[in-house]
Amino acid sequence: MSWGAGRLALVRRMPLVAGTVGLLLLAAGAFAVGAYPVGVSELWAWAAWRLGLGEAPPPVVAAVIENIRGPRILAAMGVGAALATAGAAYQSLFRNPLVSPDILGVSSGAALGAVIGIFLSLPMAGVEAASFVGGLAAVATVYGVAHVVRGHEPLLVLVLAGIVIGTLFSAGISILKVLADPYNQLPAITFWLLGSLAGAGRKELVLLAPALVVGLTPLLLLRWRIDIMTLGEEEARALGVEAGRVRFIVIVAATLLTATAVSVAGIIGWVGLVVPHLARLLVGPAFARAAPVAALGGGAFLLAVDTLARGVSMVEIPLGVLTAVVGTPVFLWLLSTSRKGWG
Amino acid sequence: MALLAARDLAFGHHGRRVGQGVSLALEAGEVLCLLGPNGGGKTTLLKTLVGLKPALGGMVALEGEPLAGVSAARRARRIGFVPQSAPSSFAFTVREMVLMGRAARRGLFAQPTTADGGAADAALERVGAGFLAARAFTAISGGERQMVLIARALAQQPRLLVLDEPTASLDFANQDKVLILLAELAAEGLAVLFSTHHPDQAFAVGTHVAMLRDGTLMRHGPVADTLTAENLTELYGRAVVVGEVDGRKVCFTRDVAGVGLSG
Repeated sequence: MSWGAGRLALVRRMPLVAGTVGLLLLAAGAFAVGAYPVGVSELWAWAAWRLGLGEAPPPVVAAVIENIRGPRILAAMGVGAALATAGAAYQSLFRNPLVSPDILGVSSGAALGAVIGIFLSLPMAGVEAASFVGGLAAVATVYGVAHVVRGHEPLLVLVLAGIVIGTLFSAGISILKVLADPYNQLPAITFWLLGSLAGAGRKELVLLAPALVVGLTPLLLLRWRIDIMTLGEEEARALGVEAGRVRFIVIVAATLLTATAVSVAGIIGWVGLVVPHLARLLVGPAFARAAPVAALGGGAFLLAVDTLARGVSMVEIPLGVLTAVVGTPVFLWLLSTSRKGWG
Repeated sequence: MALLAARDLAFGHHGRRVGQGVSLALEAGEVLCLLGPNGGGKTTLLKTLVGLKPALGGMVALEGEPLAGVSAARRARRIGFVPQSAPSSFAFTVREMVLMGRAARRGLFAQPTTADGGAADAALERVGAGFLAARAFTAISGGERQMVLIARALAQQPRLLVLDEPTASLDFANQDKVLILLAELAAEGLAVLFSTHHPDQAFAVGTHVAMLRDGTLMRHGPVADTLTAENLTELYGRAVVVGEVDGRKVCFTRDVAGVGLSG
């Protein structure tokens, strides 16, 4: 057994413990990166003060922790967890480990909504709301089209409708980019389309937290049925599963998670595609085990990437660029050291 | 009252008929073999009989009740269906796979219980595949996979077992194992319905036979009366000979019997 495989065996045995510890260490590290570094001792002093056990830290430390870095770190973890869990659910539902959470067009819809918001010079909250509504509208359209088009495999129609509607929305984004003001609006649009957590503050957490709870709960409850759906809808029905109902609930929950993530952070590829894949390589395909690992892994991964994005240079690097650059070698390394099969 | 009965059943895909006029009935302890040429609609008929496809005419009754009105969970507690397995890319263990047969007995949000684990283990032992429990379903052989899928259907604790070409792509020994298991299960009181391309299998384990050609039941009845050389010749369009070896009937085509005998 190689060094890497030995480490992996440990992670496999206690994936949630290892993931949680790793996430906390990463969060502590993320506090130390930035224009005003916050060390572990300062975090400790702040926590003690908040629990009523110590003296107040300097106001600037409390402000950085509570208003700037803390919300951003929580948002990175929440967005990563949402995207990875939604991806895990979609990969099971569509029986394909290469499916990403925007397969039904939620990202294109959210992007079009956000671009319309930027084009109309709405405030940040308005852009986020427009993006959220756009994502939900796109998936509702796709689902409606698939419902009307009968006489084919429902999953196939969903995927095809998702591609077609996504293309249409992308055309809408393109025309707005052409029409947009090239000095103010176009850079904002481009930056949003590449993903960023620069705007994530307490306000965004208020949107993110309930959406995470509402989106994750049904997926958690349906975990065994989601496993059975990987056999295909017909086989699932033969086993007594109401496949259409389960499909609907999973799509609604995963769409809510993805639309929320995209509206807070823009379009961040890769996380929802590859993190759940890695989770299954580590702990096997059962959703009850893979989804929590994917959520922790997605949160940790996006936190690490976001910390890099704001730490390595004076200018923030777009998240979508970094997720691909950082994620690809990690994925290839895990793939080569893992003993388990695909998925 | 028959366990499963079809009356003047029409079946097909997405509203397009591929067959009609099928009437048959199945009782506990019977083994009904569905024979017929490729493309004759055997798989579609089986899926319609187990309620996975809607009847396009006529009706299917499960224990006297119209199948169309029976919930998926209740249907799966009565009928175990073994499809022609297509391997998935999700590497569940054999035990996890068999446990899925318990879903029909648990609620929408349930997880498998210890009792379900016991039932799954018992089903695996019943088909002689207990030693596979921890293996990945994607990594076992085709013969083993078929046994595991039968175990999953048995974990549903059904009264009727329906199998779509259960011996397709299995070697000689594994075909034998499947057939013996089906005969044993029928002897224990299960009703068994399976499709096959080998009439010899109906001679071996069948009590009844249904011959499906061009979407209609050409003949249907007990093996002894129905599985004759004349009917097989008509069904497959080849001259079929039925003979006897060691007191058991076997069949082959006249053309193949003549090949290679020139020396």
